[in-house]
Amino acid sequence: MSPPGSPRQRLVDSYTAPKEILQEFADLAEEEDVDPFAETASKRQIAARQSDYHNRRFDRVAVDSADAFQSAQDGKEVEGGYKDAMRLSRLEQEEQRVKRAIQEKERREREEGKMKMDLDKTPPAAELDDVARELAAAKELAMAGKEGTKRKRRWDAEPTDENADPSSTGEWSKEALDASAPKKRRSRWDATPAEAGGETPSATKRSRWDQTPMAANGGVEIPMTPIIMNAPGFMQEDKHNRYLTDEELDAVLPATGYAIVSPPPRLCPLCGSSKARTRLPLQQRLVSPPDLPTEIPGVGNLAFFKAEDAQYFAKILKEEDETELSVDEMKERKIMRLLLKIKNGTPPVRKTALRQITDKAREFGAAPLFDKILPLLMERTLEDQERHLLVKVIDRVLYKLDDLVRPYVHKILVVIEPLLIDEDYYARVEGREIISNLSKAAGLAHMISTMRPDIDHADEYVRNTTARAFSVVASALGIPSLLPFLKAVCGSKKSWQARHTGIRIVQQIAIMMGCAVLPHLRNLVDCIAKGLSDEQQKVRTMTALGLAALAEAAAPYGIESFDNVLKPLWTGIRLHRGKGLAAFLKAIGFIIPLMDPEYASYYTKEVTVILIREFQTSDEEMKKIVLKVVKQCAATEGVTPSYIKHDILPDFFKAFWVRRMALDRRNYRQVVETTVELAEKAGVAEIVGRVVNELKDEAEPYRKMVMETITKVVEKLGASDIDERLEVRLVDGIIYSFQEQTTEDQVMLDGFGTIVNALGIRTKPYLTQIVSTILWRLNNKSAKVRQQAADLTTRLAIVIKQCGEDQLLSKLGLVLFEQLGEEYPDTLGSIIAALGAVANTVGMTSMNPPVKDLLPRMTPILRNRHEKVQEASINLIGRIADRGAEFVPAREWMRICFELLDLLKAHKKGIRRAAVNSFGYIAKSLGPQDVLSVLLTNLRVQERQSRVCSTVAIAIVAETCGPFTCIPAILNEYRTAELNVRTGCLKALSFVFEYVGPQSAYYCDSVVTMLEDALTDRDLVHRQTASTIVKHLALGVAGLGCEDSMLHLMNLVWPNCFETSPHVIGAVMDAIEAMRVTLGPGILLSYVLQGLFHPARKVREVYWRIYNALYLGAADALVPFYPDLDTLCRRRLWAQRGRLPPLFKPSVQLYLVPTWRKMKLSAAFGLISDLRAAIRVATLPTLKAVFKEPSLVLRPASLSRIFMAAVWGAFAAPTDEGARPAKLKLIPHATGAVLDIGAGLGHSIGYFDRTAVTAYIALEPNTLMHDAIRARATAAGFREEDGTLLILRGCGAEDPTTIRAQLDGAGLQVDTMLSIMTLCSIPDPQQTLTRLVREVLAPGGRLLFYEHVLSPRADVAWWQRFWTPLWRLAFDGCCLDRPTHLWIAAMEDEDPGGERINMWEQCEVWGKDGEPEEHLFWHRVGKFVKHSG
Amino acid sequence: MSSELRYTANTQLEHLHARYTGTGHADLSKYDWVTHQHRDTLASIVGHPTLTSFLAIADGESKGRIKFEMTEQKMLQPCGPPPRKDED
Repeated sequence: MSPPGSPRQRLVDSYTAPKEILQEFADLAEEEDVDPFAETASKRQIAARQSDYHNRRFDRVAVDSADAFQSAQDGKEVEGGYKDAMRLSRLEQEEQRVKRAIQEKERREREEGKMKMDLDKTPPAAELDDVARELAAAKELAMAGKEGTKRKRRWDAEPTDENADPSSTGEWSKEALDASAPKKRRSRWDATPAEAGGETPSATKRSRWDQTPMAANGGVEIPMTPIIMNAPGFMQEDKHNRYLTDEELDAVLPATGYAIVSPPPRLCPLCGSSKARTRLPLQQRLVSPPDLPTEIPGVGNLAFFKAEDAQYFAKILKEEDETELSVDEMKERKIMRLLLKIKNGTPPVRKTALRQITDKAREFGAAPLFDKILPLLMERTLEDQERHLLVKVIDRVLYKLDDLVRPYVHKILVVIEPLLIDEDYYARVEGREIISNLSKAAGLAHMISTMRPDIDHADEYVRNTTARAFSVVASALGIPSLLPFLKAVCGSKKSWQARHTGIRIVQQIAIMMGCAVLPHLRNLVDCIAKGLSDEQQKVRTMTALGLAALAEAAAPYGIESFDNVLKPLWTGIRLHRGKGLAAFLKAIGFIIPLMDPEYASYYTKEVTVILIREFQTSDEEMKKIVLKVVKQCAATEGVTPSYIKHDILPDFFKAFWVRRMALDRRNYRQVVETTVELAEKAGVAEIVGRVVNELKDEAEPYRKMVMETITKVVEKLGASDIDERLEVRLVDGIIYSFQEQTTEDQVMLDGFGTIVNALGIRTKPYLTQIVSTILWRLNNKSAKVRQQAADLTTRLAIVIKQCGEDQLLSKLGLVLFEQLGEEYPDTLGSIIAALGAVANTVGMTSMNPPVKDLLPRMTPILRNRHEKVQEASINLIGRIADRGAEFVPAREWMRICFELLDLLKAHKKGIRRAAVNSFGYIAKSLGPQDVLSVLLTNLRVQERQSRVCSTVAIAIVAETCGPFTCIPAILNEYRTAELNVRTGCLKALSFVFEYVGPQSAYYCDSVVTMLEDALTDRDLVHRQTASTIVKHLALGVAGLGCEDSMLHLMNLVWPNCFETSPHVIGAVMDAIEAMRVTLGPGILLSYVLQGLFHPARKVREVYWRIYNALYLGAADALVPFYPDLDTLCRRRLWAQRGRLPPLFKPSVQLYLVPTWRKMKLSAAFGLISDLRAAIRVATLPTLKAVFKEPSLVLRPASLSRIFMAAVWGAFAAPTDEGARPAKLKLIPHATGAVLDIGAGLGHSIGYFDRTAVTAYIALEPNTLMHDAIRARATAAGFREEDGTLLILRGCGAEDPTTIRAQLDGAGLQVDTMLSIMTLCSIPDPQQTLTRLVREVLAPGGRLLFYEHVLSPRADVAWWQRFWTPLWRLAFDGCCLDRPTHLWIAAMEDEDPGGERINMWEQCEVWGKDGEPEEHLFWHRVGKFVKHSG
Repeated sequence: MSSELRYTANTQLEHLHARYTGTGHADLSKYDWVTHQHRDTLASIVGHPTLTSFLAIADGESKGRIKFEMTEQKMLQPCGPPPRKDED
């Protein structure tokens, strides 16, 4: 190696670094203990990152806010209520006032002292000393003034162990001490920095309170690593900050004017214990820095553990004997553990802990929880993540605790309010959420009483955050509820601060709620209107800002609400200057757009004078506001273009179109926006004409600003306004500024493109110049310049074509083609894109260079890995494949196909999409076979992305070349034993069916077998993909008549609905949805009904999910398919009783109306009394009969008959009486020969219309009654002798043949069949009656009946069925549960041709008048006419 | 909880579904379901003019009357008052 410093002999390949760098590394190496991450750590910390203003949150005081509602219940005063809070805040104000007075006095004294010093030429030494002392005191006061806003916290009124620990967070714990000391006046003096203590030798003017016993954050000078310095419990043994002993105090303090107060009894233990506790760990910590555990007993592993955490979680860090702890202590430990887990734990640990703490929130109670959470949130080293988690805990806990939080509202607010002014949007949202929940839990009254004292707080920070919190409360509980309070606050006479805050609340409400303020706009405006004429400047300013916010929120409505404030606003702008004026102007700017055109024009003219005056302002804020107002005024309808041209533009351009404005980014944007807005009114030519010369300005940022403005103006309004002379200047300007640019910027490029495109054919004269510029720049040395030239070509290609300069384009094309060897990928990408643009505009046929030369040149470039190059080249190739594939040999295309496969791996989706589309184009020109085989082979590769893209490409090939070319190949490939290939095939098929849509109808049968296989495969993914195929298939073939195969597939898909993997279940549900479209909702419903009320919840959940989807998809179409519910209900009922459900014909099932009413028991058991009466009247005759003929006992049927005859004898008359009205309506319809089925005692005879009835035929199997019938018939004039009476013998209704025979014997034909209360007791009624009607009743004859039948109400029907077995035993086979009328209505007959037809020509059924629905004997009356042929 | 885990990907859809009247869930009582069905049926009758006319002819009432009955009279508790809690 040659010695350094002799460059000639140095080897070419040896590198070395400059000396300074080496030195820097050496320096770094020396400070080894420097933590390279210290800086990032502090960035993570919220407090370290935030401004001083934000950090003023650490100075806030939180008080207990007593639950007013609670105290009212208890009847005793609760400490810390509203009264206390107000008293405290008054105290604080007083304190500030006194402090200011003292400062003032000191200042005056000092000045006097100085004067004295000046007068006296040689001041005595004593005086000099005095002065020195005064100066020191003044310095110190200045410090105190700076720190004056420092406030104390009174969190720890009830000190818990670690909070009271003086070793912990300095001020907090110190406060605890202070608080417990009686008669101690809190003062700012405490905040005096510690250094000052040493500098004032004899502090005659200072109280002992000046001595800050400890200052956590200042004055610690011991060299130590920062972590240990922050460590809790450390800081005492510093000589400045240690406790003063009594002797020292005596020495320091003056002997007179003070009384030494004995410490109160409760101070001692606290002091003692805390000291004792702090000393010990301090020693330990000094020797060995605390090792930070990540494993805590009872907590487990944590993600991290910070030094600061140790102080909060000290109690759980060491092992303790749990048995010695009290319940409260246990609870406390538990909370701490959970909090630690949440704050520092890993996500799963955190999740469970969060759930636990939420669940147990009420158990823990508000006090222990918030005592632990809130101090953590006020920790200075808090990081974003921790804050987020703790805030989340509060949120959850709040929800659970509900009104128990009341005492903690203020404390929570103090912690949460700072979030509202955080820079982080999410923190603000979180803060809002919490406060809104808090206000819902605590209630409006409590929120107001809690926050009221802070409204006129001396500290602006507190007022600001309180105002924001109030606006959140307003949005949570509604503006109207807060309005009265706001009115009172805004009109407060006591302090301007209150008014200021009140108005700010309104402003914040407007900002937060936006147009939701509209309903209350007038009220809100009226609230703050008076503030415009307030004597306090700040209030006036804030009012104007509030009005601006309201107007902005209300736009474009609500001008009428601002009526009252217009005058003061407009007079105000003449009265004010500076900040106040700015605010007023802002308000005006927002109100003007709301006005009617003529008003807007008038008011704009009023304000313009002031605006133009303020154009000259040097205040940045004012500038911005003025610009904004000009913009808003210009946008309103009423302002005329001529007014803008003559009155605003000259001054505007003079004031704002200066180079200086281009330097500040925000000014720049404002000026551009405003100018564009002005151009809308004044016209393009006016504005462009004014600025176009500036395009040749020497300052580049200024040129850029001009360019951007012209671009935007031209973009919006077009270039037709621009005359020839301006056009020349403009083009000249843009070419100049384009060539002169030194920084690569999109602005110039965009501007050039936009302007030239807007000029269109007018560019022609300049094209030669422009193109020669481009050509020259394309050969520039700098890659960036070349790239820009290429980009410009891309933008200009169309215009060049428009101007008919084709030879220029081909020249450009050739030059670009030669440039394809470019080595900088960014530039290469631009060049290819430019070539693509040229090819697009010229067309593939006339493209120069010819496509057949261009494409082979592109093939190697495809291997370039740079995204921009890839995208540009794939686009070009795709375009060529689409438009001019025939110019290139097939072999070249195949080569490109293989290259394209690689592009499928690209990260950018656009590239993959372009590649996949290119496959389609290539396949179209080459025929699909080769491309398809390439793609199918690609399914075997390992990379998933490549495979997926291949499947998409296959589908696209199928789409472009017809599905028939691909589906057989896919089906064939599916038979490969490889899993990847099979999945790939399925996927390809799914895309195919997605793309081809209704064409799938031709292929759906051919894929069914494959889908069968896939849907029954063990592999989940198979079934998932198959479900997707089914979905696309089903949607494609909907309405095309493939229901049979679809139903088959549906049966295969359905069992998968219990899958749990999210993707699979998603696909299956989609498939089922698609089936709804194809098969119709009815079929789907029948599947779903099986499980809706399944005993297993898991089944029900799935089925309900499907039902919901079905219902939302086709609610109306479902209606005809709703099931017959009664059958469902009854099945369950019978199943419970272990009996088979009775079979009914469908008509009966439809007839029963399900009901959820229950029949009254009195009605249900009503027939017991009937039964008892029957037994009473019939037992004696029956017993007599048995006595006469003992063998009857062995024949129960006969016995029953005897019994029945007796019953009927007693019951017939009353029954007949009850039925009289119904019978009177029915029986007179009888005509001709009447067959009375079940004649009983012949009661019907009495109702006959004797003129119409020619003969009476009685059918009564109980021969014991025949005598009675005969007697009645004879009485009515029917006689057996003349053939008008026939009592059928030896047969029942079930035997029509015998009946026919007897009738024929008598020469009678039945014209009317009458059945009164009979069909209930004949055996096999349906068949019997049908045969009777069919064979006995003459065609056209009538059937009249009066019967008790099955009730249509399900509950009554249930009771009828219940009683029937007993009832039929007692009453000779009478059944309560026969739907006789339905059976009759449904009777069928055969017509001569042998087809089944309905028996009846007419039918009419009605009820019995006044019969209750809830009755076991529910009657129907019917009149049916048999068909006559 | 189980269903939440099972359909993590689809819970959003489920929530959306649950916002509509007439949809159900695993704990829906049969009474509620049937009530929905009856209401659907009534709404369907009112919504399809042909169905309304059909019913009007069958009952010999005016269409307005049928619509009125469907919407004003039967829509409220079409299956009677809800069953008492203890009975189910």
